[in-house]
Amino acid sequence: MKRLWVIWPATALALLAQAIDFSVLDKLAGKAKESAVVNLGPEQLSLVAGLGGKGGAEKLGDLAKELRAVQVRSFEYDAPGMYDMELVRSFRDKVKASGEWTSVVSVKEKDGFTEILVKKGTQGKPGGLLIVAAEPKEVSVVHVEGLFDLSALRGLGVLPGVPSLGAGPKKEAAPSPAPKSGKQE
Amino acid sequence: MPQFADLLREHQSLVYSLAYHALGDRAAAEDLTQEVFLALHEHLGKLESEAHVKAWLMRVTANRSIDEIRRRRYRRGPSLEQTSEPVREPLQEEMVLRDEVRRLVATLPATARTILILRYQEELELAEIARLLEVPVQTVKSRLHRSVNLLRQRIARKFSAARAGRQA
Amino acid sequence: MTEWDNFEDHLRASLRRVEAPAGLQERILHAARLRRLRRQLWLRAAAVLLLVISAAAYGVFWRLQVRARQAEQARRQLELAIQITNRRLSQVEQQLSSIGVKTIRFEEVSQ
Repeated sequence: MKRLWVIWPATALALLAQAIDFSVLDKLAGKAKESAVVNLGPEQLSLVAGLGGKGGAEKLGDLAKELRAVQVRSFEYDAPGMYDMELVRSFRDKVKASGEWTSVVSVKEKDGFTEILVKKGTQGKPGGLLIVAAEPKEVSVVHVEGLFDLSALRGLGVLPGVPSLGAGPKKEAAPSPAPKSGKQE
Repeated sequence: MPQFADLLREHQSLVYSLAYHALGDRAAAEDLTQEVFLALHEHLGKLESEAHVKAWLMRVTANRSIDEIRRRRYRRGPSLEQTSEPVREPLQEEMVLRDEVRRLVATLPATARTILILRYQEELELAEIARLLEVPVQTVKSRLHRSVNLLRQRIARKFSAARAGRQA
Repeated sequence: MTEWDNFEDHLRASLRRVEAPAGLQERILHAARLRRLRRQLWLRAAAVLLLVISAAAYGVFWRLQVRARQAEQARRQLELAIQITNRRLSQVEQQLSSIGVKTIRFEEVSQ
């Protein structure tokens, strides 16, 4: 069973008022065959910002300067039903109930859902991004806090030397009637 | 190579005597002797043989004596008028003469004085003295000759006057 | 011939080697011993000082190394987070695209 554990002390994040409590999601790790856990607070992000470099490394550093926190829980399972999807739903509902987050995309499927929430920011930039994606054999929750340019994050989508994890190119779709869910231009 | 303590025992009189005759002062001679041997203690590892040590000791003592004479201006020794008591016995006269010679030696310039002492205390050859003091042999020869003549004239003058005084 | 023709003999007699005074040898040996002890103390003090400076320098170096490692770890984790984020965003974009939604503009929402 391949596992990838990335552990950072959560104490730094506990000090950050805006951080969402991800500890409830740690229960999802129990039966996962692969796990990715990221907890980056202001101190760690400033270390990245200070690394310098050119090209992609410079862009990464610039992005790190704008962020206050990054939390990720991503788990893959051998078979459907190996994790409690209700736990993920109630996590999402709790965040939405706080009033600080606005859902911009909500995609419901038969055996899963994806929701993208954005926190109110300033200067034309979001104050945070939260992605909650639950599939039968995979669940990912990503929280990025800070005033940042989303296009900068997307611009770092393909990093040199790192295998792509399924990020595909943007597709231009023909105009159509209103979709089942989500906002449109 | 013998141990430091053995070298000290063997050569302390050589160094002390050179210093004493050059400076005319027992306390100063003791201090200079200690200085020279402490310097030997530092340099012992670089010296190859006892003969080398002896030459080193003479050179360092001579040079430090010259430096000290110049510093203290020992050229200005006692005036020739300051003589000892009138002598009665031949043995006493000899002792007085020796004292007087030493006093007159102390009036010589630093280098000339040191050359004289190395020649007559240690019986060194002129070439050896030249090597120790790092001066030309001709310089050693001429200064020695001049110093001996000067001292001879002064002592002859002084003792003649003293005897004439006694006879009067 | 005068009594001064053998003046050099007088010189030899006057400048004959005199013995070093009693106690001088012990005084010099004692001084040499003291100097050696003092030098050893200095050497030890210098060694201790060098050790302290080296330890301090190593401490600084070690801290820099730790910090560099931490920075590198943080960088890898941020890259991982970005990869997962972009994958999910791309998936959502494809899903929305399949139902006719062109792009998602977050600026409108954040104001």
